[in-house]
Amino acid sequence: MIRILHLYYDIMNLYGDNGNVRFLEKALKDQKQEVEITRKTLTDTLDDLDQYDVIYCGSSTERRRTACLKHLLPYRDLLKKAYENDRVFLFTGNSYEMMGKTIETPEGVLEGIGLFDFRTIEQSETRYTSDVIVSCAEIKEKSVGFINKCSKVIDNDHPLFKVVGKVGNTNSEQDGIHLRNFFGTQLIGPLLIKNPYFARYFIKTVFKLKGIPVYRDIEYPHMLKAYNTTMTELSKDI
Amino acid sequence: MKKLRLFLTILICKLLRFMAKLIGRGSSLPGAIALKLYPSILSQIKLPETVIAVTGSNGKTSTVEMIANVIEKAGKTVAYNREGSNQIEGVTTLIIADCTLGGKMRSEVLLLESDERYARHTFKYFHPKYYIINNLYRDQLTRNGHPEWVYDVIGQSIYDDMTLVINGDDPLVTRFGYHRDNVFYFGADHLKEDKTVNDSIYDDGKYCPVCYHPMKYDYYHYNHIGSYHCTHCDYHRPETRWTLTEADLEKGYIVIDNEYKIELSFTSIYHCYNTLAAFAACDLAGIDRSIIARELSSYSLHSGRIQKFELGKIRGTLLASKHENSISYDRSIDVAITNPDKVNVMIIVDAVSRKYFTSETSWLWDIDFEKLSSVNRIILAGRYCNDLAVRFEFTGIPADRISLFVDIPAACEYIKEKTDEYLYVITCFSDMNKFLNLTDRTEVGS
Repeated sequence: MIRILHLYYDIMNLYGDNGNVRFLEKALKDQKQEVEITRKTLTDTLDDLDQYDVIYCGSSTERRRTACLKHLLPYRDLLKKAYENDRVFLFTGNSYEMMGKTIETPEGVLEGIGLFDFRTIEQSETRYTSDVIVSCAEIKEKSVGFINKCSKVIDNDHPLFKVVGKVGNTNSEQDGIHLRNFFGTQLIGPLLIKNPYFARYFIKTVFKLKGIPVYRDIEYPHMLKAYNTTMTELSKDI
Repeated sequence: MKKLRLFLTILICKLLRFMAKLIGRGSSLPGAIALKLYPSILSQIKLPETVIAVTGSNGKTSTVEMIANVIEKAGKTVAYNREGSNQIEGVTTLIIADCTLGGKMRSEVLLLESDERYARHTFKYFHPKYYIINNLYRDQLTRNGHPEWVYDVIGQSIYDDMTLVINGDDPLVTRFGYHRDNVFYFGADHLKEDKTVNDSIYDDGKYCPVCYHPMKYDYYHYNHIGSYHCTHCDYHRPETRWTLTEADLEKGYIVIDNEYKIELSFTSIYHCYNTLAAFAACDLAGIDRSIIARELSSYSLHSGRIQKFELGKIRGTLLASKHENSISYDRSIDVAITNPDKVNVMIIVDAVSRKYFTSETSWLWDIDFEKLSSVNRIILAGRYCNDLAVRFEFTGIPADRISLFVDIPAACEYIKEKTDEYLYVITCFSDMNKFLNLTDRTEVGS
């Protein structure tokens, strides 16, 4: 049984991010695993987070993200424990910014969860929006995605991705964070669906945690073709 | 000096506009040059007393078209901009074209479609008397960021001396009028098609935009549009000055304020908000309410939003929607599934945007494609048909009811040869002609 927690499923869900959890459920079932999904939001209390194998959180507006951060702060120790026990985290868009030391907004400095040492600086003048091609040290195939943010993350020594190509406007050369089994990225939307190779790597990480020995090589032909289309279209403009 | 500079700038702009027209060039260049020569020129022009601006995510062009038509039919002169010239340069061209060389506008009403992101630049120089804000949806997020980001940007274009005219059924825009004096609202009463739950993929009205506590809805007209109140603070749907009191989709009419019946063939309440906003604007412009109702009744939009077509033996309707705008897709899907006959649905995503390049398709995961499970066959076409196919794998619709074509002509051949049913085509303005050019006959619907 693989237990997934979809955190703030109804408020951190701005760019079709729900697709990531929908994909995980399907892909893990295709791998003959039992899957249980728990959804929690602002009006819920969080209990032992260590009971979940995967914790997912998507992106939101800056103010809604801040409301979630306020709700999440009292559970800092639960998050730390789950992280140190190598639970697999996937935080996409601006949700991973909550895990740093601080978020500096035009209205003031917010205290972060402090899982990591990075800091986020947010402004309200420029929106960074860009299609990107990124590479990840652990897999040879590149990934594609979209950055949609108004912040910059600094003091981050463990990026998940390197930005190798962009069509649009972004201030990032590196992106996200990868430490232990925590995967954080500014890329918005259904990252796992857009990137079959990264998705395979992600599921293998979950299997390693769970001690599941066999990963079945299942092809998702439409996913692969969609990935190739985006890669081709982006490459034309880079 | 000031007067001479104004005179010369207007003269040059008028000449440029004349020449640009001769060579068929766009409408923003003369304004752009005028702004270079005289950056604050808009503050020097004598505008008419009634200046109306319209902004929001969806329906700006339709609303402006309707208002302009009513005002003209009521015998007043109106200067207004058309789609594509809704940023400061286009607005400048429009205003100067209507001016005397002394800098006074001739028309009795100035009516502006304002791009929600650029209104803050235009309204630095003059303030519309009435500022209509229709809605805030997830729309073109690849350049707009998100609805709250756009909210903040629109906020920078609002000044105390403007009278806001706001859709009170949309909690994301009603906030502009929260604790403000000079504001009027329009909205719809409880209607028979309303729902008590929001069953779309996401709900942008679930949390209060003021305090982020949960909101409660008495009913939803569609998506986050309805009657809401916060469970924590005093934020709630306001009283409306113009109210849609009845809507009958089958018979094709709406009633405003229990009195003014407007006949229009519409596909959902979604489209009525533009008519309601136009009614409000014309009322404020001092036009007799019965004249407004009469002129809105007989008017059919030029936008080509709905087009009937024939493709070989197949008859169908194209529902122009907007890519990167899930609400417009949701509403088009509703039209297709309310047809009691067996129908097929074609969805085309070939170029995500006509204005800029992006390969971003996350927005497909915000659309309630699950609702299409009741239709007979689904045809997915265009460059991004595989992104659509992946999305449809998650709808639970059996794969053997879905066909896939990168090539749009090939999809049309398939439809002609292998299908018999009525066809709905749901796609964006940016992609619709790629289909319509292949049809045998088209006719603009309502």
